[in-house]
Amino acid sequence: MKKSSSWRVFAMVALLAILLTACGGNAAPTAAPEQPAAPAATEATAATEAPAVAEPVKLVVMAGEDELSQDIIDAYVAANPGVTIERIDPDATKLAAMIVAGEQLDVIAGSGADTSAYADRGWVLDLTPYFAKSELLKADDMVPSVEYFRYKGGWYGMNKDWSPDQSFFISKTAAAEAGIELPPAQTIITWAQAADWARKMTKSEGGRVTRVGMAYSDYWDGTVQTILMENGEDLYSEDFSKANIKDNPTVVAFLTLMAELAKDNAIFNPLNPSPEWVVPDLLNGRAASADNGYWIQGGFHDAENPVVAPADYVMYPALSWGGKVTANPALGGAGWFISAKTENADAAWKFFEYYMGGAPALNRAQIGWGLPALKSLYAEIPATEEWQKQYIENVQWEQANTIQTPRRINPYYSTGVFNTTWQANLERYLKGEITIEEAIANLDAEVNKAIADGIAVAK
Amino acid sequence: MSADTQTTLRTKRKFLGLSGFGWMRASWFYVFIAPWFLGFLAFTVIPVAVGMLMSFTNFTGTNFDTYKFIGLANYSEAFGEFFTDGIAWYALSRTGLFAIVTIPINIVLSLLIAILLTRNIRGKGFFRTLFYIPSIIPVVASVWIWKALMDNNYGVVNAVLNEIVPNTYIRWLTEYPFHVLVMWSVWAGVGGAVIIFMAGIQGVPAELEEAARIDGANNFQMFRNITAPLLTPVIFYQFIVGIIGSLQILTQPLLLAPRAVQAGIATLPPRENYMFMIHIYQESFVRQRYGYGSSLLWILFFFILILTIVMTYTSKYWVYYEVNPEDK
Repeated sequence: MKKSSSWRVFAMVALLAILLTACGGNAAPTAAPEQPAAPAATEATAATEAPAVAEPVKLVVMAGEDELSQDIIDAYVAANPGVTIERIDPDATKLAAMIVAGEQLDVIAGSGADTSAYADRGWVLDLTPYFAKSELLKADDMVPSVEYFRYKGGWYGMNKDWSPDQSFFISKTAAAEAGIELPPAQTIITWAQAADWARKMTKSEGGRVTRVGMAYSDYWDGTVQTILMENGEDLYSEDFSKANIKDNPTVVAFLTLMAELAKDNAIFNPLNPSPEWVVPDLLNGRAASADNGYWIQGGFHDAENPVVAPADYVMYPALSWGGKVTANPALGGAGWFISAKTENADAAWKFFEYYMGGAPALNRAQIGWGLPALKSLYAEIPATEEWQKQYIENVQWEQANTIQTPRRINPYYSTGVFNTTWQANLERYLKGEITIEEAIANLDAEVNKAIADGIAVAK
Repeated sequence: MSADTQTTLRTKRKFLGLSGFGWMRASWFYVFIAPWFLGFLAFTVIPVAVGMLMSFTNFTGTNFDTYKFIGLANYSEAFGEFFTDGIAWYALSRTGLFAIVTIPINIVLSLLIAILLTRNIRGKGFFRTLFYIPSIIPVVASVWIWKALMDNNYGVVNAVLNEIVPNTYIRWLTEYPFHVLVMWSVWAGVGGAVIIFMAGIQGVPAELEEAARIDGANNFQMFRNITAPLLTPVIFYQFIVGIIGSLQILTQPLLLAPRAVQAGIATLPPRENYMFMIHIYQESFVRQRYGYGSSLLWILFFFILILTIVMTYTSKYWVYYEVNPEDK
């Protein structure tokens, strides 16, 4: 009897241990995910051009739902019998853990800014042979921002869309109210000129700022880099080991100008922040001008009952520091990579190719939230309204007449450090706790410390 | 059966002081605690141990295959920040100020409300519920309510002030964020403390109060000499819980930041609300210095531990215990 009880105890402990281990483990699904019903075929989502895959294959794609919708997955799976796709949400730490642990991951959504880090760690596949053979994705059909995905001779991915990120938008009504005579489209406007206009267009009521003159997009490091590009300079040393901020007169002058604009409440700032973001700020009349990209077109296109009509805004080339030339490349690039550890490289490429050059790419171009990464899709960009046509003309002019070379991405630190450190020091400056020189010196010190930390980790 | 055999069996049955029946009972005990114990191991002990190990590395959250042990370098850097008036020291000092301001306000206010709510007043059930409601609202929702109240441009408070004094415009969330955080903390924290104080007040023996009243004591004398001493264990508990909660504050200042939604992971609250946990969050997730962030967490842990030990030690001088806590 006692012996029998002991066995029961042992059996229960073993069973519990097995159950708990199963609960805690990261068990991979043993069955393929249930295939959803095929959606009604539309021109935008039809995946008929994707070739059928004979062998059953499951692809694991790390991408946000906003860029890889269930509709896209359903359309592809319906047109490719045997293929199943599992989408998982993007997460940098999870990505690293999955790759190191050898878990299945085939396609990875990421920024072009990540290319060097991913390639150096051997996480992503060099797609050069695939691009060379592709009928859909041809090098001469691609925009310059695809360069963000090239590194040390390899070609690791592609952005899904892009925009020159710092074009300048200004309200004709606000300008007229302030007595500003706007120059013809495609005129290069300087930062000093725009700052002067911003001050004139700022409106206050009872101590409250009801309209800032300019909604600055907070691409602090990117703007500094593009301003320096005008003279062939860069924020970082050749080997990326140092950022030159406090000793570069142009950078100091730019940051000082912006701090003074913030002090005058002519731009949103840490003490008077934007309640939303640039599109609603412009459409609700909270900002009279903005530096931003063609992305604005998508927001304007979808606007319902705007206070200020999209047609009221003129798009100009990016602001120039020197006044002779301006640089307005895409500051990054949201795109896709293929994992170097994938066992389904060909199937992953087929899906990659479909997403970047097939129906989803056509659909994105027709919506007009950003510009297509393939020039051949430019004809699809929305151009029914006059203001939409003006935006396209401006983009084409900027592509032909401004510096479009991608900026250099420092692989040793996150540019979030530059932006958050500057915001923190700008706040202290605006509260009168430090001088602008101290704010810039603090930024220089913090950014260089972050770079030094990154280099130490990389060694 | 010989006497020797019987002795051998008895010895076997008494292995490690437990008979066969004792072993069976012990086994059942372990079976019943196994689900909790395995969970505790998997989700508490192991993560804490990994966190400790991480604090000795240069782990960035992504360098699983290349991270290195760097000894006490993270701790050395953190203490360097403390001794050179760096940002870590600033964050700790702001957190300390938050604790110093909110804990006394919370305790005094909740004690006063608890005294009122234990009196025979009309509608006390309603008021008890009313004061407790903020405690059951999820933190995120309650912070959003306060954000809607205090918003610089569209806040209810500024709108009301404008009705009273036209053209009044106060940037609550950007120029007075610390005040807003303290107000939120008191609003959200008082309800729970009131309940505990009410339990304490209702536990004061009625015969003591009756005796004092017969001896001619007035309300203040009764509170000072009877109620307050008997409530010191509750006050002591509120102090300990308040210190731990205040020093770990993170979510509230992050959510109160004006651009919390737009900035996402890079959210930076106004400098007045740059608490120690915010600094750890920034170092870990914005700067991707998980190793350094872990070392800061351990420093915070030991700081809280030392404070708690000091408070517990000093409690014998001011906390009334019906039994001597040192008696075993």
